[in-house]
Amino acid sequence: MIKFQVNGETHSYRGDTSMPLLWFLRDIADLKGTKFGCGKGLCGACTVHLNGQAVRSCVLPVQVLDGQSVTTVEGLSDDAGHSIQRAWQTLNVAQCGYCQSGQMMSAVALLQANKAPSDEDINNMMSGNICRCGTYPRIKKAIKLAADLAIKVN
Amino acid sequence: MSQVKCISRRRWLTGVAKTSLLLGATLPAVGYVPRVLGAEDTENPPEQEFTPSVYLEIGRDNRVRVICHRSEMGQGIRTSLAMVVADELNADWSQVELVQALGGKRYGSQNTDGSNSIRGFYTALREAGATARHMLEHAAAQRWQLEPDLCRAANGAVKAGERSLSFGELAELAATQKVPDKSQLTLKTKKEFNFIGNHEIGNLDAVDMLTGRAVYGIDVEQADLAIAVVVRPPTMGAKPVKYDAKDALKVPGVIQVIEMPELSYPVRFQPLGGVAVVAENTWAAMKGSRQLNVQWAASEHDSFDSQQYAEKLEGYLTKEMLTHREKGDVKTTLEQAEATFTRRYYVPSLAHAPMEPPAASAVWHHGIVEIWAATQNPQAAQKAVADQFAIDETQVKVNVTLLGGGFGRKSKQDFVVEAAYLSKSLKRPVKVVWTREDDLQFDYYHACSRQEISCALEGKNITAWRHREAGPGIQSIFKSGFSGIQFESNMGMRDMPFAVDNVLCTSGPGEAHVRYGWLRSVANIGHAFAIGSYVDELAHELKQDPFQYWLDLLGSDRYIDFSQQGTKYFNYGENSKDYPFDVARIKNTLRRAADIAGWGEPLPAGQGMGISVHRSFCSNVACVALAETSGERVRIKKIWMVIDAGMLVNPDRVRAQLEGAAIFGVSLAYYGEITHKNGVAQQQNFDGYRLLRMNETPEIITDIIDVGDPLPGGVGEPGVPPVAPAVCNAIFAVTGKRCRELPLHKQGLV
Ligand code: FES
Ligand code: FES
Repeated sequence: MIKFQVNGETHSYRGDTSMPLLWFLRDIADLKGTKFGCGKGLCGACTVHLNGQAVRSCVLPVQVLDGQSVTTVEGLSDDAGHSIQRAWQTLNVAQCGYCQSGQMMSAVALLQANKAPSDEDINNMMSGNICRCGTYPRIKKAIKLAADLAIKVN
Repeated sequence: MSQVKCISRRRWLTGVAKTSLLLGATLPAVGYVPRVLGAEDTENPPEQEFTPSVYLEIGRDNRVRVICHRSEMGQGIRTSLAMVVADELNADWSQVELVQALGGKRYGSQNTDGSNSIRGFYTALREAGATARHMLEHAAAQRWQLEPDLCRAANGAVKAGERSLSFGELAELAATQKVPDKSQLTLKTKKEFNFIGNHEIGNLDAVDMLTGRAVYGIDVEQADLAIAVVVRPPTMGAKPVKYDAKDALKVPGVIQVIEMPELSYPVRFQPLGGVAVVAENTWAAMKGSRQLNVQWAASEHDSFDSQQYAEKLEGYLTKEMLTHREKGDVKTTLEQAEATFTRRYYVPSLAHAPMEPPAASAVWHHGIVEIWAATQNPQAAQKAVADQFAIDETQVKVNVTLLGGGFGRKSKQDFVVEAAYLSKSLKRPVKVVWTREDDLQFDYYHACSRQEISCALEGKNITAWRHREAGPGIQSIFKSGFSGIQFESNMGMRDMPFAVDNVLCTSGPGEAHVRYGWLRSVANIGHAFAIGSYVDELAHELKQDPFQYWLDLLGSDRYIDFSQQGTKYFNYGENSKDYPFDVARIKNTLRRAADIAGWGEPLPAGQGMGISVHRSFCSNVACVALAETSGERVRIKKIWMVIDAGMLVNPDRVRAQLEGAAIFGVSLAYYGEITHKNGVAQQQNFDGYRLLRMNETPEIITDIIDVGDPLPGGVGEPGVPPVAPAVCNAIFAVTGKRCRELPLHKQGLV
């Protein structure tokens, strides 16, 4: 049996441990905010945090998760009150919205490591996340806004 | 027309929302027949099947529910439609809620493509709001025993002097008021709008999207839901001869292996066939599908090779099968011209690649099949499912989820029919999930297109214009054996706007070996690329400034009546009075783009600009691209996008669409190409089919022109066509290298 935390709750799992975390989250834990885009680590739609680091959950089998802690978009806030969500909302970033939980999880990880990222830092971190709708310019702005919001809060 | 029926009291009482004011608005052309329908689950659809409507419901709870009949796929349509209704209603924005309509003829067309949601329903929705406002005001007048003129709706309440009643308090009484004739409605003037044209209206779905609560097709849950992954024939039409169902069934969680129905021609929206693995969860279904080892019978499309096909199209250019436009004598003019100029262009097949691959769920109960799908067209889903099972469309109930992008892919209902088929076989709710590999291999591709443009020249004047095209077309999915393009010529070929005396537009054959379909802006992509590149080439050839030369070619300010120009032009279904083909507006859009981009000002070494403009979906978009060399390669550093789409409802979303269109356009110019070998698509995932990423995305400046046109044009698609030519023209400006065949990446340019 494998035990790990998702958004602070403990989950135990006895099934097929080759199952990627993405499908565990979506099908077993019913946390559907984490999205499927490619299944190959190419698009970032499935990005979550593993012990605070951004990872692609589609290529992360559940078997390596014993004792680890996972955060998904649902773990950011219930009401879109997290600074990243507020920035996203203020700038009306989302078009179809499908890629955005992955984008925000990447962005949150970036801001945790780097309180005032440059354009280049943002490009480096965010270029693993595809947005077919083309929201990159607003994502970039929103990351900077979120950085400002976070500074104001602290 | 405009006959108005009173809402019958009986219908009121039998309706679902007994305490609500429900109103329907109809398509302008059909007449105005309000319906009591909030009854999203009504068992008794109204008798007039053609009544097309968007509905508005005001509850005793003071909530204004806008029933959105169009699919949300990132264009913000749910919010925008609500803005229109709420504005004419004088609602308070905080009381507005959205209800997504089921598929049903009563709503009018729900086919969310063709950049038509606002264009097609703007007036009808305003009238729906204004009708409700009128009835609320009359209800208040009755309650207060005042002249209706003294009662005014504002911010969700009707007021007269000190008196005020909320819409909720008036809803019941309002429902008993006489429905006004259209002539009694006072629509607001532009100055009076609160929401229409407001830059600051946030997306009503934003919080759901940002918290992960938003439900897309792939997110649908049902009790006892099984998940299916289908292994489809790698070559169209191939049938499975052998597969290892046993091995698949050994995977824990796999429930059943089900053979799909065979594909028949024309392919339309039928499933492609193959073998499905149904399981308790998605991972098990995916894993099981890899154990099947399906062997396929031969297919007539096994030898399809897109490379050879592209070469073959060169020869097809001169096989003039269809004439799309003919005016004057092109042949003689070309023969006798002092100079001619001929260039050929090629745009390969493209995939839609919406971020959410197709996904649909279905369950059968008592002869009714209920669907939940990320579909752009629930009515087409009803029809496709009804056709497949020989049932009535009314037996197909389609719930539309949010779409994780559509771009035309989700107008095709094959994935919906798959879900219905599997649920029927398994007698259990089934969700079909497409992998990215499925999405790229089994798309309804944007059709590749070979084009040739020739001109006869007298000095810098064009005396004859000949545009030839060869390639497969969309009709091939609806008519077996259909070869070449047909109506596609309406999108940028027939409507070539230059003032030229002799014009000939023809197309040759193009057999279909895969499924083709419409992709964001459709054939405008290829036509705008060819014409936009050609104008630039000709300008350089004649030592003209490309921007000035565009203006010269466009000629005098005028409305073009294409019936006088040797062709029938469909004008995206609009009449030429409301939506004239106005050359002045095209030029104006182009000028604005040149202006804000600083066209003509000196640029640093290693930089160059390209420009293009295109009218489509009754809107004009101009694009300027700034290219910069970096080492061996070039990149687009900045893009300016200018739109004139007439009246705008939701300017922030219009800008978002322009930003998205710029990225979509650069993406296809840089990387877009689907190739086939031995009938099989060669691109499997985002490594093979590359899309633009943030680090490659240019800075994008958007601008909106408002010429005071009271009617809205399309927005979602018209941004795409001018981008690729502007990009290639900019690359030429800086490198001297002309790219006539996309994608640029293949030419080693980016
Ligand atoms: S779904 Fe995981 S990176 Fe694309
Ligand atoms: S918002 Fe649609 S894919 Fe990013």
